[in-house]
Amino acid sequence: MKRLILLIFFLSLLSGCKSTLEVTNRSDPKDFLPIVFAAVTGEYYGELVIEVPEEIRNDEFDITRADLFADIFADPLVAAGAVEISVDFYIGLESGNVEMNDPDINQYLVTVVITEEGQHNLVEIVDPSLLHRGMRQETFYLKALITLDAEEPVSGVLHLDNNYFIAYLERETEGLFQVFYFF
Amino acid sequence: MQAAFFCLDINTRFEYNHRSPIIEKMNQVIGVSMRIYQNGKGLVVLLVCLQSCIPAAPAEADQPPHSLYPVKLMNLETGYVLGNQQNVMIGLNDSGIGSFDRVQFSTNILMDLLTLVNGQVKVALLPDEGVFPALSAGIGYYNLVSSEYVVDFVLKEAFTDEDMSVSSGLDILTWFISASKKVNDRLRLHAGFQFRRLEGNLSTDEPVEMGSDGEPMGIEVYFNESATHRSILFGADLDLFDSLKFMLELGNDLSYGKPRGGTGFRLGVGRSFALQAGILWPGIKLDEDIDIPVLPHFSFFWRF
Repeated sequence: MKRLILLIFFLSLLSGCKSTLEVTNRSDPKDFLPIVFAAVTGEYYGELVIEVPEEIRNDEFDITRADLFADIFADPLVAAGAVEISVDFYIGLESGNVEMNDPDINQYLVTVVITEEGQHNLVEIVDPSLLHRGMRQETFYLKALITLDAEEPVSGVLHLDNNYFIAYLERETEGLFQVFYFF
Repeated sequence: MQAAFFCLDINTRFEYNHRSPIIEKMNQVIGVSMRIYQNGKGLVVLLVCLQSCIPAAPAEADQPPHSLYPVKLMNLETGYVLGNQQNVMIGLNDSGIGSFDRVQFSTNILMDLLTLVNGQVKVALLPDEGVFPALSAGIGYYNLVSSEYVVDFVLKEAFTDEDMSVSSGLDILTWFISASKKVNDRLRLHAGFQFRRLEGNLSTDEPVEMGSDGEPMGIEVYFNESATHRSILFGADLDLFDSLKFMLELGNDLSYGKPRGGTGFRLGVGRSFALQAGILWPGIKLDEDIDIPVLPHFSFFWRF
């Protein structure tokens, strides 16, 4: 994108003023490693490292909004009785299941509850504040704290797939208004 | 020796004095104008007519219509439209045709050659008669038809190691309203408001791989560029000699928030041909180290 800036600069030559850039990895989403469980109750932790391309984390543009998306589901899920899988979804600036309540490091996003196999939960997190800071770092982390609560032993695989972001970048410049003076 | 001093500010103050000796008057004019300008009280259009140094004004019938009724100075559209027995104009910049002294259809040839295909329609709303100025309004549309090609070229230069496919476009919509008043056979005053809206866009047709240090990530990019531009301009054109016209534009770029203007000369050759050159300001700051203080202006046309 550093070189893409050249292209954007070219368009800036023609106008100036306000530039908005929408960048997304929607077509190349990232997946957590599948979380395998076999128990009645228990807690699990999953983490996905998102490497922010250097071209995005530079300060050429201001990040005005950044949204996160994910698809959380269990497949397969084998249970004799009722089961409840609670997934607390976080974004973090540092790796690891520590200091989850420290707002400077981790931000709680949403809780998803899964009770049956194949139940897809499409998550859309609008503009979490820590994502703005995360996108200025080399990496940020998507974290999942999973709590399993069932009446009978259950086994299955939890998927947190299709994690992607849409970031809206903006730049206001004086531009080259004078180009209008040519005609 | 006589001098004439015309002062027009945004409060529409207008003075006309042609009795003082030239040197004395020029000193007064420069002093007054500098004080007004320095006090920031308005836009000053300053003209000194050295009538004793200039041949007597030719009869109006001897002057070609393109001199008496200029449809455009350098950037400022005037209140006149193509007509008055010179209905057709062909030139490097604006070219067009007038109909019934009321409507003008034109295009900017230079911009067309640069593939910014464009067309304008200008309508005369009032003639320059009595105390009323000529009043006109117009609209224009520009489209960079080569945007795909240009962007493709830039991509090949910038992304030599990547195969990128993008879509892009650039449109400009403009409108303006202008007024012009003939003061005498040699001098016309003009005022106008310009509005321009630009929309540019670019998007990748396929994801671009980024993040070479770690795991590459396919990124889609949608880029939008917009600019709204408003200017108010005052101008004057003064026939220094039968075939030499001095042009001045002063105003304010309301969007850029800075004064703007231009000055130049138009040399008429025969009754139909004229060429003009001048400068426009402010210039363009391309980079921290590259600052072009003024923009050059050059044009020529046949009007018949």
